[in-house]
Parts: sequence; C-alpha cells; structure tokens
Amino acid sequence: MLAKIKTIIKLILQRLKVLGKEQNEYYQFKRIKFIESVKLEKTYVRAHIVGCGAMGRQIAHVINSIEGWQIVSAFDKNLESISKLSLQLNKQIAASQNLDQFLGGVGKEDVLIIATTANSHYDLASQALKSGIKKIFIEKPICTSLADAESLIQLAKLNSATVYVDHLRRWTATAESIDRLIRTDSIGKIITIHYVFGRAGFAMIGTHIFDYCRMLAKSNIMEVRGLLDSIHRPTWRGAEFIDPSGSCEVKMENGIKVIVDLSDNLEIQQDFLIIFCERGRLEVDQRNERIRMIGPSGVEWQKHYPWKEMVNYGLGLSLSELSRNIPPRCSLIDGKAALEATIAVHESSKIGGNWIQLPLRGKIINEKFSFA
Amino acid sequence: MTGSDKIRLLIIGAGKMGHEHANAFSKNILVEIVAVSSRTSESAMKLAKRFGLAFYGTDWREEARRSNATAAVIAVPHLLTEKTAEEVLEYGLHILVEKPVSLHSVGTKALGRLAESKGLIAMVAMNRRFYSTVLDAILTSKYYGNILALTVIAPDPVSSYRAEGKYDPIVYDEWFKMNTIHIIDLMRLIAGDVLEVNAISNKVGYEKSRVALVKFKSGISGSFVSINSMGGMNQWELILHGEGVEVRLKPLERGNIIYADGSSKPIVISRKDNMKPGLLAQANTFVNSILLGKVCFPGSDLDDHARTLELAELM
Repeated sequence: MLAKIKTIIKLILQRLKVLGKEQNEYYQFKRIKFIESVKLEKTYVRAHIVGCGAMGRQIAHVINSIEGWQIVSAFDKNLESISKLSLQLNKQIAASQNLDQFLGGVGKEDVLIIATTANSHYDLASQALKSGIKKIFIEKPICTSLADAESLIQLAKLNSATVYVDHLRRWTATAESIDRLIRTDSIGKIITIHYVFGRAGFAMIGTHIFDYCRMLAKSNIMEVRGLLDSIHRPTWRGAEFIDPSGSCEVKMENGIKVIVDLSDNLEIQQDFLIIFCERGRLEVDQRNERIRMIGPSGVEWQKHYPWKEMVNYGLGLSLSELSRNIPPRCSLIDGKAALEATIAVHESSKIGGNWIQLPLRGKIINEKFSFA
Repeated sequence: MTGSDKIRLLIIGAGKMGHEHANAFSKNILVEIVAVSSRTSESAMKLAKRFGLAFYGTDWREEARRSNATAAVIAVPHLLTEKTAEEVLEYGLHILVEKPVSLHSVGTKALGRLAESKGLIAMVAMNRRFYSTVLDAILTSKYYGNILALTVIAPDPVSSYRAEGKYDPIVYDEWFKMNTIHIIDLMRLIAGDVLEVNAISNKVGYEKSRVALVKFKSGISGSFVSINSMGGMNQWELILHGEGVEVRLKPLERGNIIYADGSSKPIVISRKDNMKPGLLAQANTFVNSILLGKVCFPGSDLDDHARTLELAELM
C-alpha cells in the first residue's frame, strides 16, 4: 500500500515537473533549429521599418533578438517613437522623416517592413515598389479597398518584388502541426470550422481568421453572410478608424463551412477554434494554449499549444524566408482574399445578413473603408 | 436509439477472446449483443449467461438467423479463422475478425474483395493499434514534426511457447504471422506502405530469427529485429524517431516521450475502461466504421491487413 502511494506521489511530481518543461520545450526546440538554420545559411536580415507603433516594435524586438540581424533605419511621423524604440533595443537606429530618402536607403537585399495602419499601406507599398524595393513585409489588412489591393498585386508583379502579408499563423509551427495532425487522417477530412474569438473587429482579427481558414481548408471563400454589431467601439489606434465586430458564416469552394464569432457581447476574448472533421474534432484553445483531439474510437489526445511564443517565432521565420526570396506563405493575393471576405461581411450586414457571392464586383471594389 | 436501429452482434467463438470482445461491445450503446455460437454448447451457454443472451448454440448460421444478427465478431481457433470469415461474409454480416485472418496475403486479399463486393465492413482485430500509448506516440510525433525513422525490437520466445504445446504445431511454425504480426502492423500504421525490404533470416536455437531494414514510401526508414531467445524480458519495443522528439514504448503499454533538450515525459496506457487494452476503442471504431461505411483510422481492413502480411512475408 505504501509502495503504491509512493508511486502515485512520484508520478504526480513527475507530471508537475514535466508540465513546466512542456510549456516551453516545443517552442525552444523550434527556436534552436531556426537559429541554427540562420547561422548555417548565413541569413542575416537587414531591416528598415516604417511605423514604430505596437506591431513595429514587436517586429523590431524579434529582429533584435537574433544574432546578426539588424534594424538599419526606421521611418515614422513621430520621431519620438523611433528614439523610444532605439532606447528599448539599446541600438542605434537611423531615423528618417523623409520617405524618399528613407526608401532610397533600402538596399537590394534588405527587407522593408510596413507596420503602419491600413490607411497608409497602399501609398507606402506602392511608392516602395516603384522605387525598386524587392522585399516587403506588410501588415494586415493590406489596404482599405479592393481596388488598391489589386493595384498592389499588379505593381509587385511588374516590379518582380516579393511581398509577404503578416497573416502570421501561416508561419507558426503550431499551425503546421494542426495541418499534419489532420493529414494523419485520424479524424478524417474537415467539414466545419468554428472560430470563437470574442469582441474584435473584422479587419483587425477577422482577416487573420479568414486567412487561417483558407489555409486549413486549402480552398477559397465562395460565399459570405454576416451581421455587424450595432455598437461601434473606438479602436485604440484612433477615433478615425472604424472596425465593427459581429459574426459571420462562410462557405468555402470545397464545401467546408466556417463560422466566425467576433461578437461584441463576448467581452472576454476566447480565441477558441474547433475543427470538426468526418470522424472527430480538433479543439485549439489559443488563449489557454491547449490542443485536444477526439477521435472515433473515443480516445482523447491533448498537448500544450505554445501560441504566444510561436507568434514571435513566426515573425522571425517569415523575415528569414523573405530575405532568402522564398515564395510567400501568405502573398498579396491571400491578403486581398482576407480583405475581400471582411468587406463581404460588411456588405452582407447592409442587406440584412444575406449571402454575398465572391469575388465581389461593382462599386464596392473602389469603396474605401476606415480599417485600422 | 431503439433495438431495431442498433447493430445486432453475434459472437462466433466463446473462448477467452470471445469473452473479451463481448465485454468491450457491451459498453457501446449502439450495439446489442444478440447471440453467441461456439464449438461446444457449454462454452456458448457460459458467454450467453454472462451477457444475458437469448440465443446461443454451436451453429453460427442458426444463431445468426434466429437473432437477426447484422454483424459478427469472429474469435475462433486460429486455423479456422479464414474459412469462418469467408462463410460469414458470404452470409452477409459485417465482421470484426481476430488475426491472423489467413496465413497468406493472397487469401486475405481474396476475402477483402469478397467483403467489398458485398458492401460489408471487415475489420481485423489488431488491437495494439488502439492502445492509447500507440496513438499518443503517433500523434505526438506528428505534432512536433515528421517521423523520420522507426525501430522495432520484437523478441518472441517461440520455443518456450512451443514447449508448452497449447496449440497445433503449425501455430508455432507460423508464430511470426500469428503474433509478431502485431508489431509489424504497427510499423505500417505509422509509416504506411512499403517500398523496399532488406532482410536476413536464420535459425537461432530452435527458431527463426529475422533482422530487416524497411524503406517506406512515406520516406520513413524502419529497422526490425526479432530473435527468439533475446534478453530484455521479452518485451516488444517500438521507437519513433521524429523531428524534435523521440517516443519509446517498451513494452507497448508504457514508455517515454523524450524531447530535444533531453527531458522526458512518461506515457502509460489508459486503463480507464478496465479491460484488455485497446479493445474498447477497437469496438467503438468497428461500430463507427459500420455507420460510416468504411473502416476508420486506426482500424485495419482486409486489404490493409493483406499489405501487413506482405511485409511479414517479405521479411
């Protein structure tokens, strides 16, 4: 009896000890491998950042954390943002408020990062492309109108430039894990995806989810219907930006159905995804960092899902791939598709939540939205 | 769910495995065990009494007819399995059949074709596939990255079993396909179809030993060692070598996940169902396979099992 108790205590202690390890282990492994590949392939990113707000700073921190990578210069309307960043990183960053001069300083192999609000993306990106910059990393949503998005696509093609869109899940090892798990066929093909995020705007968060679902479903969006919340909460980015919350339903070309809930009354952000397949389901709790699979035999499997750290890993990996001219996992075409789905939700809401077919046509293509 | 919607299950063979399967299926609300047939009426009655069955006897056809069975578990003596499976499929029942279905891949394929032509589910009872440790090992490895290689060490003290003399001598002669087949089957479950095999076989002591290198179409490499009188407590060992993680099971009921930083986490087979490991999950999968019209992961249908037998034959 005593021996049994001792064994149970030992197992509990082992489990507790190991849980701590499990939290970091997967991320640490991926990070170590990533750093190794940077050294072996001599991938040293020289970056120039436009916009030293929240995203710009996050990207800058990632770049700063990798040996051999550097932020050469930064452009921001607010010089103080640049000096603040410089102080935080403890690195000298050449500051600029003259865009032409700044873009002129971006070398052929350098990476330009556009981390401003969406209303400036088209102007900045088009000017960068016209000035011959070949490697651009742009925040989402890529633009505020579909016409601008299409124009950027054509410009990038004309200038043989590689443009990555920051729908970061495509670069996280954890999203690749989900793809691998589904491909084991242990629960069959995807039938429906339910994503409950919580209170958020469609342009800010919905675009990520639309892109993620396109990636998981391996299909384009065919139809959208949705309703926006009547409450319009100001975004912290500024009162000029309007990005309502709501919920929507999406039909993919291959028959997969997606339900996205960003409702205002979901005050606490759940960030919970359920992928329902033919013979089971995969539950991804990004907030609590757990993944669980339930299959037809009733057997459950669960693991830690290191989301928060993987975001930074994904940023690093995407910049590394961009600097090596690898074709983008998320291109301008993908960015436009995510934007189009968001705009379609707006259109659907205007007509009482009826289905809207994609691709969108007519006047809506040129309409500019006040997305952040 | 009414009685008429349920799967009406006939147990053919009331030996140890017949009881084990019946116990597993008795937990599934979509199944009604309706009858049992066995070589002796005593053994049939014993199982019938245990599970409260109205129909029991020595003629499975008679019991199937009387009970309106729609599916059957075939757990008869080894050398009767193939013939019984063929007859039951001809009769028109879905089957969960104990291994080995046949001693030859050719025979198994023929049965597979028969099942398919009749639109019947025929699943082979490879219960190791349903071990929670095995599924944990596969899913964990895939979660971290690609599986790069497999190592299987499968000692089987055949001469000791032969000395006991419990079964027909041919069973010991074919022990590789009778029992070792379980772990060979796991190699295929994990790595998929075979591209190439390089094997050495010779006699060590009284029995044959086998060492093989297997190249799978998936790119995974496998190494296999099975020697009759090996040390190491005669426990089967399965190692999955993955990107960033290694999973070792020894025996199959327990093991460790070893991470790239050297730390490890134990995994122990789930015993929450309080029965022979894997049987409940196997029973559930068989039921779901009937409902869905095809054998679900990680189940093995006859065609799949034939390919496992082919690998054993190549070794």
